[in-house]
Amino acid sequence: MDARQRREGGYTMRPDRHGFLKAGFLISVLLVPQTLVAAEFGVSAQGTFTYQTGDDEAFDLNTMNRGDNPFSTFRFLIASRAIINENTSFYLEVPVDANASSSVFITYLRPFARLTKVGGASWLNLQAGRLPTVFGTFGERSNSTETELIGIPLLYFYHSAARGDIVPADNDYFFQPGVRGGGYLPTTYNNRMSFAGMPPVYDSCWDVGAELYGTASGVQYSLAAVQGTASRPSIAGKDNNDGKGVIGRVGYETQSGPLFGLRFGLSGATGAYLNQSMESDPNFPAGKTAEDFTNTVLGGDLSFARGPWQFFSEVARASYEVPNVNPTLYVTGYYVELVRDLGPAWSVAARQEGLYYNNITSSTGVTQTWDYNISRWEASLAYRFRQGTRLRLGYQSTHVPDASDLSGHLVALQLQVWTR
Amino acid sequence: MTRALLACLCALIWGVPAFAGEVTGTIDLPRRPAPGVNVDLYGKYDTPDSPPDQSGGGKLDGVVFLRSETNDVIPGSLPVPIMDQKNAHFVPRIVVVPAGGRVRFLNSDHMFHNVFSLSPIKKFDLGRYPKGDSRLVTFPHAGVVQVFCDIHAEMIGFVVVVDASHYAVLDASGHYRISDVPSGNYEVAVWAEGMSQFRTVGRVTVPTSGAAEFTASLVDPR
Repeated sequence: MDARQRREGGYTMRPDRHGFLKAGFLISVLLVPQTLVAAEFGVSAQGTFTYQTGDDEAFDLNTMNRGDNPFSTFRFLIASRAIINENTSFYLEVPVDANASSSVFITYLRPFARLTKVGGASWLNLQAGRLPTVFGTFGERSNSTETELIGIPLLYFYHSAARGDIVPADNDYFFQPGVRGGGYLPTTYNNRMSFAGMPPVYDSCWDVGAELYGTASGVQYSLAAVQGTASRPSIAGKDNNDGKGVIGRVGYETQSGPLFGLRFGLSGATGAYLNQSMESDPNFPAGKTAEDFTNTVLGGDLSFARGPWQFFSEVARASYEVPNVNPTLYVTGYYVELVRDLGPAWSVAARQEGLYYNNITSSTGVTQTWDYNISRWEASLAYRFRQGTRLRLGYQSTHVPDASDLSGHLVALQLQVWTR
Repeated sequence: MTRALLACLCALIWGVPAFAGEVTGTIDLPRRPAPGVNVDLYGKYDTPDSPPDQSGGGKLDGVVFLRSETNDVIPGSLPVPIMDQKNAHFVPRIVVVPAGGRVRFLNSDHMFHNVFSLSPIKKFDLGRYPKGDSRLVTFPHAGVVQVFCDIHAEMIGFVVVVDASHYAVLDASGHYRISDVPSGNYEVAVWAEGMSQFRTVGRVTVPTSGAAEFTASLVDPR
């Protein structure tokens, strides 16, 4: 199956003509009650308008489950905060994307509550609801105004061939045409739609749960109980099995001396990822339950900034226990990112990254990685006209050594506008 | 003759004119709207412990200054005001310097800030520097320089660069006091947040001794 067949055979999400009207109505309905109960209320908004050209496949590889894509023609992010009292706020974020399917718009809503200084302890804070990504540090920068590059690191979105709603009969599943490299496309399985494969960490999809977090003397911690897992958040707001996921990070940020601002940390996440309905699948192993199969992700982050320079890096390894598949599937990924301000208006940035999958062996004795290894680099040149308006030129080059049709280049010109 | 000699002596010793008066008064500005709510969903570790009180209720932030109608000599040695970065706010939010003056941008927070300005009269980017460090910026031309933090979008400050050597920042009620003003005739100009240019609001004569009072209103009577 070549790239075009994959695209045309896949489930294509198209925006509903009336979807954005519905979206506007829904946002209004949700915002009005906040204004009634809040002591203070604020809304911020941002929009990106992108012209991109290059290989179709290079664009498609940036697509997420709901069709959203950082290179979409336009994207909006509307966020609100209702301050109830000094320590309690309700947040709501609504992403709107030209490429996303409006039929899944409801899963886009990101409401959560934040309670700070619980019991008067400055190091103890609580968040509950649909939680911003807990794993690693990219989540804090995932808002497009916080990153210099247009694309999202592969670690945080690139869909592998591992899925939570398919039970392979054996290792041979990963040797079928279109499975490797097709993780970003929904497929049909047992006459029903199967959604896209799992990335190491899925930043765009916020899981439902509760999180304790805080910082004291430079030590940062975060511990969350969620319905899904780091690779497979519970997108519909309903748990897909009886297991709960745990995600946490502990880190340190130096607060004095020559290494002021050096930040590093370790993250971990584990939980059951398979749909419970898979237990009735003919391929599901007898005597097992969906909760017996876990998705575990471990990672580390390191960042530093000084003067006009910023450096970010992360490495992570995600594992998937897949029924009837041996050994456990692994993917190891990394990214390193360097940003250089060139005065108040100009900046340049570059990121190098990759994902590498472990080998499995088919029934005929063929050994290969269970998905295609992929590497990518991206660069951007940005110009800030004024606070809240930025134009950036981005270039992205994706390299898939074992599937040249998935390799490609993308050039994009993006205008960003945002309010405080 | 004796008074003139005394004046010269005082000016040499203290840098202050012997017959310096004072100008006080009120510039009535519109009320300041309540500050916007910081809608930051992601910066959970960046939350300041105790942000300064910026609640509404006071007047707009503003500056008043006196332009000499004869010869306003800006002294060569000027104090360097500090604009601190504290609890993710610029403190004070407004500093005034005469053209050619300098401002020190200090970071007193446990986190990075990155002060920058895209104002046409002075563009600069100070980069990221740690707690306790500061950077000096010279402002050669008169005008208003809006400064931001590249990391914390809610941080906004103003450096008001005036073509005068006698100035004051208005307090929350719009009151001001400008001391050590040599006697003479002056044009009174103001700037308030939201104004694109300085506005001349009247004239004042400073006596050889004592105080002059000048009051004006920029509030739309409607």
